Amino acid sequence: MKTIFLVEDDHSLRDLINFLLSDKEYNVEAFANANTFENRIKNGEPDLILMDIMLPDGNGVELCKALKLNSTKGNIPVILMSAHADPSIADDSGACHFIKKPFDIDELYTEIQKYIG
Amino acid sequence: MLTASDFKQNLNLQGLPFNIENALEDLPIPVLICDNKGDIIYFNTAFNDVTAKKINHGDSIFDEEIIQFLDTSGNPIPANASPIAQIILKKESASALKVFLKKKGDLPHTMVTKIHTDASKEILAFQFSFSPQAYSEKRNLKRNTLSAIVESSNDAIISKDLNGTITSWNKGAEKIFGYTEKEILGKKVNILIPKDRISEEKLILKTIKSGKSLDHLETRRLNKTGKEISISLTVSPIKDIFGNIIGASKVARDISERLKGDERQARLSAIVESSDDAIVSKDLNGTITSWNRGAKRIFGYSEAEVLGKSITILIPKERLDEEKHILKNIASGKRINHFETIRLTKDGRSIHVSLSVSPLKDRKGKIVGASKIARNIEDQVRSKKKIESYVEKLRILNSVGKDISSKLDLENVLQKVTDATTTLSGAKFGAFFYNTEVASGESMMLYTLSGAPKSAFEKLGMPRHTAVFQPTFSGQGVIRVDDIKKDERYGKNEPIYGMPNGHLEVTSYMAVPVVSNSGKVIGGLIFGHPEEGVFKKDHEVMVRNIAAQAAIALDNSQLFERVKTLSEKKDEFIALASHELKTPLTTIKGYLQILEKKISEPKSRLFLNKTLDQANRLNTLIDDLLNMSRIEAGKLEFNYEDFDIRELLLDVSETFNYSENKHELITDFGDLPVLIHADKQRIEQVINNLLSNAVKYSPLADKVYLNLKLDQGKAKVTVKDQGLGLTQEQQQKVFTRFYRAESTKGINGLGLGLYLTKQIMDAHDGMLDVKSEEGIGSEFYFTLPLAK
Repeated sequence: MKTIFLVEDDHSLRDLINFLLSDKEYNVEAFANANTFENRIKNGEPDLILMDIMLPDGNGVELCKALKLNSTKGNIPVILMSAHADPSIADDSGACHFIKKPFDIDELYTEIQKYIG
Repeated sequence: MLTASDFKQNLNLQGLPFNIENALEDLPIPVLICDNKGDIIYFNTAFNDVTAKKINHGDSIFDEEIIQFLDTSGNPIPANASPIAQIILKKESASALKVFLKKKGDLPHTMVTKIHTDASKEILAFQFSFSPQAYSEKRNLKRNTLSAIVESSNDAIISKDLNGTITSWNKGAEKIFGYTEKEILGKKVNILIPKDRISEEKLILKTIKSGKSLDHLETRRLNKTGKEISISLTVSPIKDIFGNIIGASKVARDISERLKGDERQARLSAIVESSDDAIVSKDLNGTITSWNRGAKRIFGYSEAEVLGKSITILIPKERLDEEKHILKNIASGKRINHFETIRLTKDGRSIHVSLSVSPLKDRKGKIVGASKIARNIEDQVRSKKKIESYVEKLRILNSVGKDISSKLDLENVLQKVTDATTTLSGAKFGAFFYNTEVASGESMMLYTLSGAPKSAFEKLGMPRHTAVFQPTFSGQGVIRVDDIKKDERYGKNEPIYGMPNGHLEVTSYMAVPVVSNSGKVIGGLIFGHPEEGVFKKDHEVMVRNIAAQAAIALDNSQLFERVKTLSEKKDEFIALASHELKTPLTTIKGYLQILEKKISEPKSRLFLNKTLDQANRLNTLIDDLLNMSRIEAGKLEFNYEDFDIRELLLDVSETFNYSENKHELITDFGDLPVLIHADKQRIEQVINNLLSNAVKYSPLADKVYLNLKLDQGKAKVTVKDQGLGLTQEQQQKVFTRFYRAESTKGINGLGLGLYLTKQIMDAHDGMLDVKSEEGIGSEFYFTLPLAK
């Protein structure tokens, strides 16, 4: 079972995605802020990270950049999400994909499947 | 027989006032005196010179060796048959008798006789007047010359007898009066005299008869044509050898020309003297030869002071070369016109003059000097400078005014104001100090500085509440003093009591408060100059005016800053709000999509789809709001790429057909790809917006048209509906923000779609327009440049 780390501060959306992905038989670990995610990732090896950009204590783009510099965790695919209309904000992040909110749930599945099957 | 001594005695007895013998001896005219028998009792040297034989007293006049008589044709006749014999022997009276006399050879001589008849003793005196040839070489020459002079004289030389009958007439007389000698001889001189001057002739005759001369009588005479001419008349009595007045010689000079010349001369002199211009003449060495009153007035020197001096006393040292140049021109006959230069006055002042210099020529045309006309153009130059300075001031004022009203950048405006006021006031430096409250309450901030580096003030304290500065920074009014150091407000502030070390030198001081509309003192413009008394009333007025304008600019600028801040806050808010709105929307949409997959009951699915549609619309509205605020703030970013708009249109129409729609989309995109350079996502947004408008505003129609074609090297996309259409007025307003046509009441929308579409097109160098007819439909079209 593939593990997905989900970082999303809005709890209803976090619940929705958690529900969707668990339904598709992914192992989902959800985080409400950057801090808890950063603590967890130190010892964790998810197969994919799905992360909101605007977090209460951090920025998904910056988190992603930092992660890509890490020798062991740099290869983990990261999908960034945002309600920001301009996807170019994620350009330099090193993320493999950007999903604009609101998204179609099918689009989300499709993208995730691309990277971890 | 009368002897010579008797004769002399007789002459003496007559009491003549001079020694007649001596007088006759020296006379160049041959004179012979004989008694009534023809015996010679006296002859003078001149007579002896013309006779062939040496004569003695007692010789007879009829001796043919002495005088040969000729007839009127010049043939010799016997002496006793000659007219002279008639006079002498037959005692016939004779006057002005013409006879011929022959001396050696056959030269004819004119002999004019005058008979003097003494009561007791008859003596005849003959005066021989010879034609020139008869004289000895020397006398000949003299007489020739005299005669030639008379003949060639331009003056009229006339003789008349005491009756006023004209007896001789020279060429000059002919020229002046027009009569020939032949015409006038024997005529009365009165024919030359105008009626109103006849009395003059009587006076002349009276004068002549009394033996006096009349010198240079200026009068008028008539010429042959009856025209009056101005002449100068010299009349002298003609006396016979015994001193009897027998006539008068008149020398008449035509002075019409001279009078004209005199008049002209006088007029010219008067003009020269009364001229306001300096009129000076100098010779070729530059020595002053004349000097009029105007010259005195302009240069200060009197005529006596400068005559004979060099013109260079008027020329400033550095301009001495000019004089060389002028003299060179003059020497080659050239004039110099209106040459503007500077000359020195007696008291050493430099004055602006305009010089015109012309060569002066003598009668033969040789250049002998120059006349100079110097006009004092000091006033002209001053007013010219004044005008130039006004123009410059106006230019500066205008430029400041423009900047103040058009620029909102505070620092820029204040720098312009400081620069302009510093220039206009003639200050050495000027500064704008901003009123700021620091903790101590004792400071003002140097905002802009002109004429000195900012470092000149940076290290100095800027106390605001000193006696000098306080009136300015509390807005009490303008301070303008000629010497601040002598002002009673100066030097009252401890610990330095005056300007600190390193302060720019200030004597003249002017400070103008800058007060905003609300009455708040924003700051002050301060000007300084090391010299005394630089700032005048009009400087103050000018700076005050600019300060008032600057205050408005500052108000505007502050207002602008506030509005800008508010606007930025609004944009931030919209960005945040849209973000916050989208997060729950994402959740709503997600759950609806999950439900859609789980519910198969048709009616529920229909409701679910409607709810999803509305969620999508809500999303679009949020996007529009966000985009608008970004466009307003100039923050909307575009990602340009080359792509095929035909392909995009195919995608869009496919999606359109896929969604449930009662309108049929009729397309014509041609067969070939059309590459454009644009932001694909934004262009898609534009097409979708136009399509959804077409559907939305044609509720009763069932067709919407979407076309692509190449038009004048551009991609042209047209979206056409058969809907409500727009009036002319609506068409003009349709692209403005928040505009919604009245007729669209009941149709949802914020009125942002077309505004955003237009903004996107503008950003792409594209064009968006509409053709529409009310009740028939609208045709929106845009064009975009092709990819290069």
